[in-house]
Amino acid sequence: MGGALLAVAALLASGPLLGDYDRSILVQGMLFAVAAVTVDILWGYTGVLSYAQSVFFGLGAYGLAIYSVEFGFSWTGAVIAIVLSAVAACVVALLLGLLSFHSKADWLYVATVTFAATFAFEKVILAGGSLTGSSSGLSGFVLQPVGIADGYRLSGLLLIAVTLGACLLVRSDAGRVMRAIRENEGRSQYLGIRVHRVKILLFAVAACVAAIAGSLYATTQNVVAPDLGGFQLGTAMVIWAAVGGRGTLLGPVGAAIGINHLNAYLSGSIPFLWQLVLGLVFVLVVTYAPGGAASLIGFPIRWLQSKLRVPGGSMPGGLLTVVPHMKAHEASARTTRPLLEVTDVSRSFGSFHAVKAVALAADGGEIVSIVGPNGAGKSTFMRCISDGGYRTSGSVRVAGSDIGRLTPDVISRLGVGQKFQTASVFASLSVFECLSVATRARRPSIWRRTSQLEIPAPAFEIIQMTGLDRLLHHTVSGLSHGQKQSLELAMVMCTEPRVILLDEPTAGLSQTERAAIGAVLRKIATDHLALLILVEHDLDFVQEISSRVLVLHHGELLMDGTVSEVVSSELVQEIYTGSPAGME
Amino acid sequence: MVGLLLDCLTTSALLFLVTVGLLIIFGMMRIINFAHGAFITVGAYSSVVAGQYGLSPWLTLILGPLAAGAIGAIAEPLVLRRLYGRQLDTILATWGLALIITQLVTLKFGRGTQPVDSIDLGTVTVLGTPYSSYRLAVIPLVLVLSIAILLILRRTRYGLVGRAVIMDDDLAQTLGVNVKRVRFTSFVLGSAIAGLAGAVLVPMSSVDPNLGLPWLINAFLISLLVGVSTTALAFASLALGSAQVLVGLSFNSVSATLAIPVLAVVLLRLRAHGFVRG
Repeated sequence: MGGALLAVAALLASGPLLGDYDRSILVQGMLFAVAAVTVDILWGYTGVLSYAQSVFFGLGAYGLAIYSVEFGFSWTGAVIAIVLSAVAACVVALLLGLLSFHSKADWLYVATVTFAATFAFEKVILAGGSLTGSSSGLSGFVLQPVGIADGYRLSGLLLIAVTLGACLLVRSDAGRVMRAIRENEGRSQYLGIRVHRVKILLFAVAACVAAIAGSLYATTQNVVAPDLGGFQLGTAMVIWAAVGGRGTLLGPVGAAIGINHLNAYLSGSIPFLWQLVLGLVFVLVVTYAPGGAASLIGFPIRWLQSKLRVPGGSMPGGLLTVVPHMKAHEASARTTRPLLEVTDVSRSFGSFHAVKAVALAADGGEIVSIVGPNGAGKSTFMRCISDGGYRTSGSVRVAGSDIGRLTPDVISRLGVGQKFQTASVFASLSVFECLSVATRARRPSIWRRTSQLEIPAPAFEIIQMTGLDRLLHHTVSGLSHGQKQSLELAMVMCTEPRVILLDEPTAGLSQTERAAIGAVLRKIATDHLALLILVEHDLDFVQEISSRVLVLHHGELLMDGTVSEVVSSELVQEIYTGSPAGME
Repeated sequence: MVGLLLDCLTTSALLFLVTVGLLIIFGMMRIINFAHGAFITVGAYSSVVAGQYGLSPWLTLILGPLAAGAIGAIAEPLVLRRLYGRQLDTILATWGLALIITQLVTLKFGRGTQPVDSIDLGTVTVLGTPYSSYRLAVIPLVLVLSIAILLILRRTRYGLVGRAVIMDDDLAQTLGVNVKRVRFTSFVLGSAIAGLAGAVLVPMSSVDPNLGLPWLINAFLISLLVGVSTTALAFASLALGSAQVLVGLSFNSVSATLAIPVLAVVLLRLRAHGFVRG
């Protein structure tokens, strides 16, 4: 990474050696590269495919041009114009972000909305009359033109600053959160990460940066045209990121500069053929080499690194340690209300009632198991507690406060943690990174990277028992199924929940792991006074650890009693053996 | 008043025609086809070719779908088949495909607007208002097409298998359905319908390499609103098509072109299910 920055610096220093023509194209290329970095931050690292970075670039360019035309050009004026257009881009991004990032919109919606935004930008500029210069654009508005050498230095400095900032960001704790969102948005949300807020914020900042690059473009080129904010440039930015290698920062930078340079040379002689070749390369990269050029170049480098690394030598990323934090668990103030109150909760899918008027009141320290045959509504019931928008009717209170229609991230912050049925983790992150993302005692730094993590005692016990503490550097996708299950449980425990929902926590675990997990769960309930709610098929395990058992059948609560009451109940035996007596 | 009503109806019919191909591909293949606009362009350019060979403009209604369908048949095995399950990459790859097709068209015919010999049916007087017969003819064409699609889906073996693939492609595959063939057929069919839409658009629009683009954006947003239901598509086309005509009447042409994108985006924000019940 440092070497690549050197390359950019060298490019800057070599400026005087290059001809004017090359330098003027490079100025353009470097400003486009800044926009490509914002695409990479959004798409490569956070998984938000935005075609609208050209809109913000265009807003910056037109902002400066229009301001200069209307109020006369001066360098103070230019600074004011840059600030104003960055603010305008920020506002537009916030509006687009509020439209695009909410619980019911998926990535496809974002891609389409941003695509439509580029189209709208061009239409609005074309309809702008003399203010925007319509189809011919505006030119000659900078009265003291920037020399090529100054323009070269200015855009080079911006590119270096933005790339450096982006490097720091993606390697920081906040960068880990961004990658976690890309890998598994649902899990991030249920860990209490306010995913939509993070995305809107990033989108707004990216828009600001792109607008500044756009303003510099207008200053150095002294001409703006509607296609600066149009779909062609917008999609080209995505193409640069894809061809260069998404999620590598330098790949998109190199691709933006390189493709723009080739473009300048080839579009004169073979304009359409060149575009055709670019399209072909793009399709080939997406289909056959999704990692882009960076992965093709990076492959031999990584191979060399792996050959050269001294066995037993230093690990990549330095020494990582995880310790339990010593903070005594504050005994939650005893209230008269139970910790969890579920009143007549139902969930229907059309005319099918998955959960019918189930009620439950339980307190800290209890371990409540929910049993019942497949399709009884157990997992659906859990989701009614952890996602306020899911139940059809009824109410849920956690520690006295009504969850209303709150989203999972907010409910997680109320102290509800959920482990899903199939292990849901962040595949491309390391074990340490997963734990670090889940621990949110402090707001993650946007430039520092933690290498020593304090996690709550129960989480520490889980990773110690399952040997994950020796695998902190390992990428999660390479772990066994049981290890992923334990890691997810540890991640949930990192959020220090008071109500813990566990959907088949022992599935895929060995007999010893199962016993160990059982011991940890009991300890969480007794020592930390947490409420545990389990969905479990292993009835031996249920008998062993539960203080109370609920029986669900066809969405209805059939029994709520102690382990021995339920085990001796004829009703339960009938359900499990399928005997029709007494049943509908 | 009659003219306005007819404008609403014909605009809606065109929207339906342009979107239904996208819907088939999305429904059957879960593929987001950003090349849809390029297929529309190909269909429209069939009129240019027909003109060069002195063929009747009516033939474009067959040539357009054939040409677009043929390109779809080449593209599916080469690109799309390799990207199933990688939805985000299909958006990119089909957009790349759109770039390639658009550039090929530009290489062959140039960047400018093409003069074409289009179908001219004159005007007909409806309740005292003279109206373009061609625009009116689009309505029965769309009705016939949608009935044909419904019949294929409800009454034929392909439709039955296709609906099974829509519901659960993994299960369909384990039951011995040749999912690969269903997807291929769907993609070719969807592309061909886009080609037909392009050919139909010729008398009402100027023919240039980016002809399909504004339609692509509208079609896309509408398909997000309606999911895979053709009935919902009919409602959405009618509502948004009429809105476009009315906005164009009360404001200017720019707000008319932006009416559908803006309305669709806002509708989606307020009601993520759009026009689909549930």
